[in-house]
Amino acid sequence: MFPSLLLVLLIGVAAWAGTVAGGAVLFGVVLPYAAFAVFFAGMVWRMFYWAKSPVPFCIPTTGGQERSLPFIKQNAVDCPSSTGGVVVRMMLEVLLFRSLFRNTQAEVCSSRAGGVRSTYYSSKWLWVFALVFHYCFLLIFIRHFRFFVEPVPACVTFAESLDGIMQIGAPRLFLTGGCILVALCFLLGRRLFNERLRYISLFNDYFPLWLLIGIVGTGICLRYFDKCEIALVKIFVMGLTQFSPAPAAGINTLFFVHITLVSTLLLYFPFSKLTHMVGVFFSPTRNMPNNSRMARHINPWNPPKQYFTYAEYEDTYRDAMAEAGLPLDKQPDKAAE
Amino acid sequence: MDAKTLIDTNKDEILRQWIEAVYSLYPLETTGFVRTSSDPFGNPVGDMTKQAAAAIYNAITGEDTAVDTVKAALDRFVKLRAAQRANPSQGLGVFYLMKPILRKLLLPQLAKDDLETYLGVESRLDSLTLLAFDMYASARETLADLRITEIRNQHAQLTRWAQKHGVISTSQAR
Amino acid sequence: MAKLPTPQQLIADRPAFPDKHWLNVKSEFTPGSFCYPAKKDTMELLHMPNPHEWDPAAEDWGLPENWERILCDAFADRLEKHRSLKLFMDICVRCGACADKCHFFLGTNDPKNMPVLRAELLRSLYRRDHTMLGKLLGKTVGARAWDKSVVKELFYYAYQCTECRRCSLFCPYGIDTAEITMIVRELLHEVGLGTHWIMDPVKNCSFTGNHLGIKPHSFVEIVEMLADDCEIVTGIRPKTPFNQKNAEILFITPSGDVFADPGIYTFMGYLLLFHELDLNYTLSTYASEGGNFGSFTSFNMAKKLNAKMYAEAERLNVKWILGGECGHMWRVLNQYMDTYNGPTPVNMVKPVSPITGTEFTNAVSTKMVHVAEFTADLIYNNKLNLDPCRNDHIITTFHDSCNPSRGMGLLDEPRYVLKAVCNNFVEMPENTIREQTFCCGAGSGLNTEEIMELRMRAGMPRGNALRYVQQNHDVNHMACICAIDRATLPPLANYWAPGVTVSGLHELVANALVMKGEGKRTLDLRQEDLPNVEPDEAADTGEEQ
Repeated sequence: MFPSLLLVLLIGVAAWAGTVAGGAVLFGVVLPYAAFAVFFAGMVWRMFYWAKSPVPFCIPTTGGQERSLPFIKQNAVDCPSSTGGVVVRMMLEVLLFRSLFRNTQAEVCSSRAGGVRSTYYSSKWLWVFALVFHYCFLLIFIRHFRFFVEPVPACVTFAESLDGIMQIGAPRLFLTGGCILVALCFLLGRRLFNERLRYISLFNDYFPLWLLIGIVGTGICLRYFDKCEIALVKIFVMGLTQFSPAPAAGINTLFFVHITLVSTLLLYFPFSKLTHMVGVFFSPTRNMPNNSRMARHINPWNPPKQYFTYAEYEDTYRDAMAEAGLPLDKQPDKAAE
Repeated sequence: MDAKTLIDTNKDEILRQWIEAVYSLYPLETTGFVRTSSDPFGNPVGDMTKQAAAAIYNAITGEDTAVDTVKAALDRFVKLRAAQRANPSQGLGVFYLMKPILRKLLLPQLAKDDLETYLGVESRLDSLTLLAFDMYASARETLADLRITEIRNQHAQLTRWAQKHGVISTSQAR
Repeated sequence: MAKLPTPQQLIADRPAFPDKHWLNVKSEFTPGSFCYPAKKDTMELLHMPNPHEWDPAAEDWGLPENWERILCDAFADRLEKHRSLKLFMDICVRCGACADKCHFFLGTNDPKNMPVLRAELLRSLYRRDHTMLGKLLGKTVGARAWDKSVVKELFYYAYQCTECRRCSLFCPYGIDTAEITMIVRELLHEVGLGTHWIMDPVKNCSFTGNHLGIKPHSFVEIVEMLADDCEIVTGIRPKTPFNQKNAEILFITPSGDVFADPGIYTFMGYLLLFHELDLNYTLSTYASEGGNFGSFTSFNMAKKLNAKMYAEAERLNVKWILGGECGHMWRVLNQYMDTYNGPTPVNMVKPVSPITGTEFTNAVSTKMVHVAEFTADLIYNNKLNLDPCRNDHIITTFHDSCNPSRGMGLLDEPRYVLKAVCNNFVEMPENTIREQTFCCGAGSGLNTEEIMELRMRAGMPRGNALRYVQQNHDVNHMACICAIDRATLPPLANYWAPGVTVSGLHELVANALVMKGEGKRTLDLRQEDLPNVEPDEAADTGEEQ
C-alpha cells in the first residue's frame, strides 16, 4: 500500500519540480505523446496477444435454464443460445455489472406466525461503487473532450450540463468529481479495512487507485482552487492534438502534474489488470452461446483420436463375452485363425 | 442488582466477546468475513457460532437446561469443530473460552453476595463441555463410520454378485 | 516444572498477525488433507509422462530432474492453447467478489481456498515469466519463481477445488477457476503427479469400460441381478439389452450406478422405465462408463475416454444416444464432446423421442439427450401412468449438481419430473440452488474416503442448507441427478442432516411408475415397505429382508 502511494507522490513531485525547473515541454509534450503511443500500441498488442490463443472449447458459464423443450422456459439472457442473447448478456455485464449484482445474501428471521422465513437481498455495496466509479470516469472522460475538439461537440456540452445539474457555484460544481473520489475511496477503503481483501491485495491493486485519486485530485484542484486559465490550456492541448505544440507559458505547474499522472496511467494501462476494460469482451465464459449441443465448436489444435478401440476390447475379452452370450463382431473360432 | 438482571444485561456483551474469541481462532485473513456477513447460508460458520453462543449462555445461566434442546442447538457447531482440522482439545477448548469472559464480567459483581449463583454458572459450563464431548466423540465416530459405509456402498452390487458366485462368503460381505 | 497449558494456549493455533505474506506460507501435508497418489504402473499403462512412486507427506516428491523446465514449457504451451488461461491470468482485478462463494473456503476458512488466491498461485508464476512488470519488479508486483514447495502448493489446492464454477458465476469477468484448476492438474500430471482415486478409474474405464475394471461378462451379470431385483419389486423383469446392433438408442450412464448403493436403484429405475416404454435401446459393455474421469486429469485424457461413445454408436449403428443422470459426464457431453470427437458418425440422426415424436432440437449436433429431458417430455405428453402418492412418505428437495447447472443449464427439466412423481417438494434456500447451487464438496475426483473430514468441511454449506429445510420443512429426502452426488451426498447428509436419504431422480420415477401388468407394489426399489400402500392379503415378497 505505502510503496504504491509513495510512487504516485514521487511521480507528482517529480513532475512539479521538473516543470518548475523548466521541463514543461518534457512533461507537457514529450511524455503525453510517448504515453499515447505506448497505450495504443500496448493495447493493440495485448488484444493481439489474447486473440493469438484460440478458444478450444465452448465453455460459457450458464446462469439459468438452457434452451430445451418447448414447455420449459429458457433464460435467454443468462443462458443464451443465440448471438442475440450473448449480446444482451454481454451488454448487461459491461453496462450494469450484472454478475456483481448477483451477490445475494440471505437473512433468516423468525416471522410473527412462529415459523422461520428467509429473505434475500443483494449485497450491493461493491456493485454500487464500482458502477459509480466507472460511469463517473466515463462522463469525466467525455467532458474532457472540451479541450480536444473545436467547436465543442453538442454531446460534450450535454454531458457537462448533466454533470453540473445542481447549478452550484462558479465554476459550476461537477458532480462526477466528487462522486468518483468517494467511489475511489470506497474501493481503496475496502482493500485497507477488509482483512480478506487486504490479504489478497497487491501493489498492482493499490497503485492504480492512488494514481486515479491523484489524477482526480489534481483535476479538482485545477478547476476549483488553483484555477488555471482554461483558454490557455485549450490552446496548449489543441496544439498537442494538431502536432504543433503551443508554448506552455502562463499555465499552472499543477496542470503538468495532472498531465504527468494521466500519462503514467496510460503507460501503465496495457501492462496491468486495467486491461479488464477490453478483456471482459474476450471472456469465453461470457461471450459464447450455450449451443454446444446444437452446433459443433471447432478446436484448432484438436489432437488425433487415440483410444482403446472396440476391436482391441473384443480381442481382449472375446471368450468371456462369447460365453456370456454377448453379440460379437468376430466369433472366437474365426478370430483364432 | 440481582443475579438474574445481571445475567440478562451482560448477555449481549458476553456473547459478543465469546464469538470474537472463537473467530480469532480462524486464520486472521478470514475472520473479517465470518464477522461481517450475516447470511446463514453464505456464511454458515458465523451462523453456527452465533447459534451456539446463545445456546451455551442460556444453558449455563440456567435459562434453558433441557438436554435435548441444548444438544440440538449445539449440534451443528460441535460437528463443525469435529470436522475441522484440530486436536480434540482444540475442538472443544472453545467452550472454556467462556470462563475468562464470565470471570471478568460477572464474577466481580456476583462475588460479594451471590457467589453461589456464579459457581453454578461455571459448573454448568463444565457439564455442558462434557455434553459436547459426547457429541464430539459421536461425530468422530460418525465420520469413521462414513468411511466404512462408503467403501462398502461403492461396491455394494459387486459384493452381492461375488456372494452369488461364491467368490466371497456371505459373512465376509457384512 | 512445566506448567499445564491453559485452554487459550491449547486452542490458539495461529499467530496474532500473519508474519508472512501468502506467497511465503507453505502447505502442510498432514494425513486427511491430501488424496493418495496414483500408482506408478497405472501411470505407465496410460502412457502418462514421468511416472514414479511418491508420497505427498514426504519431503521429496521424486520429481524428474528437469521438472522446472517441464512445468515452464507446459505452462507456456497451455497459454498458447487456451485464450481463457491468458485472459484469466491477466484481467483479474482482485475485487474479492468470488472469495466467499467457494464452498471450500466457507468450510475450511483457508484463505488460499478463496478462488482469487487459488488462481493467484498460478498467476504469480505467470507474472514472472510472461509479464513485463513481473520480470522487472518481481515480488513487489506479486511474481514468484517456481520452487518445489510451489509445486506442492499447486497440488494441495488443485485438489481442493471441485471445478464447480460457482465463483465464475459471480465474477464480473467470468473468470472460471475450474478452467485454471483443470490446467494446473494438467501441469502436475506432466511431472507425474496424479491421484489414485482418479487415475485408477481412468485406467479401468479405458481398458474395460467401467470404473471398477469389471470384465464384460461379469458386468452383464451384475446388471441382470438388478433386473431380477426389479422383478421382485414390480413382478416384471425388464429386459437388459447389451451390445445390440441397429437399436434405435444407445443408453450410456455412469457405471457407478451399476455398482454403488444407492446409484443401483436409479439404474433399476432406468431399466423399468425403458421396459415400460418398450424402448428400442441397447446398453454397451464397451462404452458403459458415461462419467468421464479423464476430465479430472487432462483434456486429452477426457477426449480419449469420451471417444468410445461415438465409436460405439457407430459400430452399433444407433440413431442417437441417451445419457443418464451424471454431473461431470454432462459437462463433457455438453461442452466438450462434439469438439473432441465430433462430427457424429453418419449413421446418427437428429434425436427424436420414439414415444412422443418430440424432436430434441437442442441436441441436433451432438445427438445426445439427457434422460431428464427425455422423461420430462414423456410426462408433458402424458405418456407415463404415474402414481405420485406412492412417494407420499417422502418430502423431497432437489440438489442441483454443479455441472448440469453451471455448465449446461439443466435446471427445470429435473424439477418438472420430480414434481410429477412426488407430491411434496420443497426448495432449499435461494442462494444454494439452481445456478447458485453449492457443490456436494467432493466432485472432480475428490470423493475418496481418505479425505472424509475435508469433504465434510467442503460440503458443509450444502449440508447446512439441507439441514435448514429438514428442520423447517420436515424434508426427509434429497433427489439429485449425478452419480458422484449419489456417492457423496449420503455421507454428507448423515453427518450434517441425519435422517435425510438421497436418491437419483429416476429411482423416484420408477417408484411412481404404474407399469402395464405389474403386481401390487408394496415395496419401493430399495425393497423397503411403501407406507402409503396397505399391505394386501398376499405378502408375496416375504423372503426378502
